[in-house]
Formats: sequence, structure tokens, C-alpha cells
Amino acid sequence: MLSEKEVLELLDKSYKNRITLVKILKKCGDAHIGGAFSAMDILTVLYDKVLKHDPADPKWDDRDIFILSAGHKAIALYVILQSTGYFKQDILWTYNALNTKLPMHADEKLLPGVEFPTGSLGHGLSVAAGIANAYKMDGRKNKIYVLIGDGEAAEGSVWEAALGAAKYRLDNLTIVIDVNGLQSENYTRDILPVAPFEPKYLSFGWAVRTIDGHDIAQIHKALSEAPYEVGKPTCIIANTIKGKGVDFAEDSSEYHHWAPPTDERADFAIECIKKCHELEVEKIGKNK
Amino acid sequence: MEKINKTIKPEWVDFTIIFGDVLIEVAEKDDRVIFVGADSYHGGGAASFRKRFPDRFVELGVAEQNACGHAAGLAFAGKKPYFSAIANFSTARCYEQLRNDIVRTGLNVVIVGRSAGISYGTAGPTHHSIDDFAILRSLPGITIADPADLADFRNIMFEAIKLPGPIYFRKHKHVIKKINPDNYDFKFGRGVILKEGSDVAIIACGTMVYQAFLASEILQKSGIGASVINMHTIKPLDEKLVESFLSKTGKIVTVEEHTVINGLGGAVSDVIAKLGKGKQLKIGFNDEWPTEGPYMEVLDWHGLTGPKIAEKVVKWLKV
Repeated sequence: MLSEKEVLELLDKSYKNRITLVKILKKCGDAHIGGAFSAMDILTVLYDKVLKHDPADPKWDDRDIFILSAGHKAIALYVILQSTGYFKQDILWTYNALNTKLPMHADEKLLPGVEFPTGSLGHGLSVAAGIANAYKMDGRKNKIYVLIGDGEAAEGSVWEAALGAAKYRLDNLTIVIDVNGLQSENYTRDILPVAPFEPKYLSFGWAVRTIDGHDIAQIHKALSEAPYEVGKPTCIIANTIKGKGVDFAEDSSEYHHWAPPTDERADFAIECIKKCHELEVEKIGKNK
Repeated sequence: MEKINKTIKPEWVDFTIIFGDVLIEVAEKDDRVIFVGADSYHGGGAASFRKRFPDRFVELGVAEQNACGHAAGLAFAGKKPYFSAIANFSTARCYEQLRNDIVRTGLNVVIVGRSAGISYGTAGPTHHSIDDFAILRSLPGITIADPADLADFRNIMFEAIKLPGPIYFRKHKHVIKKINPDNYDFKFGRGVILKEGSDVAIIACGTMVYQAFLASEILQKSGIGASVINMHTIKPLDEKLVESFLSKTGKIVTVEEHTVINGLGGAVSDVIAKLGKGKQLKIGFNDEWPTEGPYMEVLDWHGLTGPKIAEKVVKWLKV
């Protein structure tokens, strides 16, 4: 369990990551900011406290594997990989440029720390299950984590993979579903209702927990306690807010993909993030 | 190189029956070998492998997108997966997984197209696969092979996991047992000259190599000398060999159990276009859906048997 100090430190990192992200957009253009912000707390906790990895040795044999199946959120992964030491900060400012190492969707051939290329939705869980299966066969202890979006969960391949992972009892595999309730065009419930996830994953033979995807302590507990049942893959349903941290962008499909129209708007987004951070810190104080 | 100069004995082999036994041989030499299936291991010949290596047998059901992605994950983790399903289902059904997760990443996954072409003659267009080369050939870095006989098949099965990247090949149901010369030198991307003639060169792959050979015998009786080349690798194509036959005769016939668009014929056309010389007759399915019926009868209906091929060549040479 995390101490309050650790929770506050992680929260601080997560909000600093959000600010860095907006700074990238201010200089380099557009990104899927809504999903990047809904997943930011989860990814920050994962990379800081849960995932076994070594930025100095990205191909370390004993590392855990993370696949960002919801590849549109790549900019969040870039910020985190940079802040944990995978590459120098100046590379961040090349986002989306010609021949960049940081295209809109992450490419494993370009950037250390990116395990697998994603972007087209519904691929990550199958690949992760294949890795998990191979590691089981070899008696390796590495864990495999995948993050998917709730909009992405409409892809049939996700459910094929969910069945296969349960069949092979892949308890070394954890999926986090970033349920921000929105996708490119509208609310997920309007586009194609795919929730509720809990009964679906339970019936598919997974061990399931539902958490607040912006509660650092809950995220850490859910991730670090997996697997919950021997022989079952783990599903963490993280309820989140799209655009979390920038109040004008929260819970809106208009900010699924966004570029600040002016520098002033980007600066205002950063001010919003700082304010949101203060409120979150206050909330933790009140809940003591 | 020893050239075949006598009539081939029409002895047939079914790769979908022997696949598992050959895979056992490969797997006994390399403990990274894994079979990945999608509910077709009996029909696909992998039952013997399942019995011999139950822990290296992964069955993912009628869910080819997942099977393909899963195979990518296995390869990522150091395994050598052979993913086999009916040709449409190991290629077209999971094309995007194949494209992004296997070919783009360059993982050494062996993708096997069971009963490709029109092996399932009576099963109709959903089970025919005359576009598998076409949909894969545009992917950078993939190897595409089509075995003409048992020796090709065994060589492909053994050599596939030595490649740096992915490979797709066809697992035919009805193919001549032997057409390659004894102890021929098998290398991906290197065609095999079976016979030399001075008037025209017939370049074929897979099941059509034998039919091309039969055609050459018929042509010979009419005084037309035809070279026959087994082009077991469609990608990378043995461009030098194509070029050398273009220099010799200037006329090339390609024959494939595949659409004439973007398969072996398409690959040879690309060489001709690049060189800006030579003539080509493409024999295959002419931008049409094959008809249904018993395999050999469907082949004949579409003009893909020796006598029909010879007839087309004679007509073409006259023009």
C-alpha cells in the first residue's frame, strides 16, 4: 500500500506529465489528448511503481512488458518514457515532425521503451496474450500489462483474445480498460454500447476489479495485487474522465483529438491542469 | 544441375496430411517451434503434432484475428510459431493482424495457407484462395513461397524459421510428389530450372509446375522448345533468373493457381516493366471468381491443366 506521501508524489508526477504533454502540443500540434489524459494517472503509477523495467536497459530479459493497445494515447506514453529516462527531453519537441521518433502512434523500431507498435485498435490484447503464453511455457516470471480503451472494446478481436487468454489461464496477464465513456465521435453508450465490462469479463473467465482510474491509491492497489486468482487473467476496469485535468476538455468528444488553436489557449490549459492538481491534492487531504 | 528430361510419374501428395509429421521433425530439432491453430488441426494435418508435443500446441478456435496476434506475441517472446488455417482464414481474415503485428514488426512467424488455390473445389469462393499472394505481396519484408513438390515443402518447412522475418506459404492438398531434381539446391528466392528449351520459358509455382511440365512435353511434340522453371518463391522473386530467360527467348509464360493480378505473373511483369523488354503471357484466373466442382475438373475448366496451357501457349506464340 502506498503512503500518503507516495500518493502525492505520484499525483504530482502525473500532473507534471499532463503539463509536459500540453507543452508538446503547443509546439508540435495535435494529439489524442482526451484519451491521453484519461489514462495518464494509470500509466504514471504503472511505470513508476508497478512495472519492472530499466530505462538504461530497455531490452532487459527480466522486464515486464507493457503494450498500449489504445495506441492513440501514445503521447502519454512518450511523456512517461521520457520522464522515466528512456530518452532525452529534446526528442519530445520533435513530436509529429518529419522522420520523428515520436509519431502519433508509437513505433517500436524508433523509440526505446516502446515494446510493440499500435494504433489500429483491437490488436494489443492478442499479442500480449501470446507473449504471456510463451512466458508461461518457459516458466518466466515477467508480467504483461495491456491498456485498452472502452471505445476500442467494440473490436471483436478484443473478445477473441479475452477468450483465448482465459483458456490458457494466463494469470501473468493484466488488462486495464480505460473507461472514459467517450470515443472519437460521441459517448460510447451512443456509438455502440459495450459496457458493462465487469459481467462480461467475469463470464469470460477473468478475475475482475473496478476502480476509480484517477485515484492513485486504488490504481496502485489494483495493479500491484494482480493476479487476483490463480489461473485467471486480470481485468481492471478503470472508470476515468476523458480529458481529465483540463476542465474545459473534460468529458467531451471535441477534445478526443485536439491541437491548441493559440498559445494562449495552451497556456490556459496548463493553468487548468495546475488548478485540477490542487483540487486533487485537497481531496486527498479531506479523505484522510 | 541435373535437369529433368523424362516423364514425371503422376504420384500425388497431400501436404495437409503430412504437415504434422514434418512439423514434428522440425520441432524435434528446435524446441522454440510452436503450432498455432484455429480449429482445423485434424483437417490441416497437425493432429500428430498435438499428440507428440501437447505443450507446444496452441489451439485458439475459430478466431483467426486472435490466433494471428497471438502468434506475433509468441514470436516476440522468442518462439517460432507455425500458424496454420485454411488459406483465406490465415491471410484475408486476419490481414491487418498479419500486416501490423507480424510483417511490420518483422517477426519470424510462419503463416501457412492450408488448401490454398482451389483445393476446396466444391466449397466455392469462400474457401477458394486465389488472391493470397496478391494481398500479401505488397507487404515489405514478407517471404511468399509455393511448394511444387514434397521436397520443396520439406525445405520450406525447415528453412522457414531460419529467415529473419515472416513467411507465408501454401499447404496444398493435391500436388505432384516429385518434380524437382534429386539433391537440388533449395534457397528462398532462387528458382529451379527443370527443363531448358529455346523458344519460350514457362515460369510456374506450386501445383502449376507439374502442369507446366506436362504442357512443355506437349509443346515439344509440336516442335516448340519450352524451358520450365519452378519459381517456388514468389517474393523475393528470382529476378536474375527471369532476366536470363528474357534474354534467351524474350518470351515468358507464367502459370499459377492464383489470379493473374499481383501474384507470380504480376511479379514477373514487374521485372519486364523494369527492363523495358520482353513479352509475357499470364496464365491463371483472369480476374474472375473460380467455378465450383471437383478440383482437377475446376482446374481444367479454367484452363490450368497441361493440355490447356499448351494450347494457350501455341495460340500466343502464333500471334
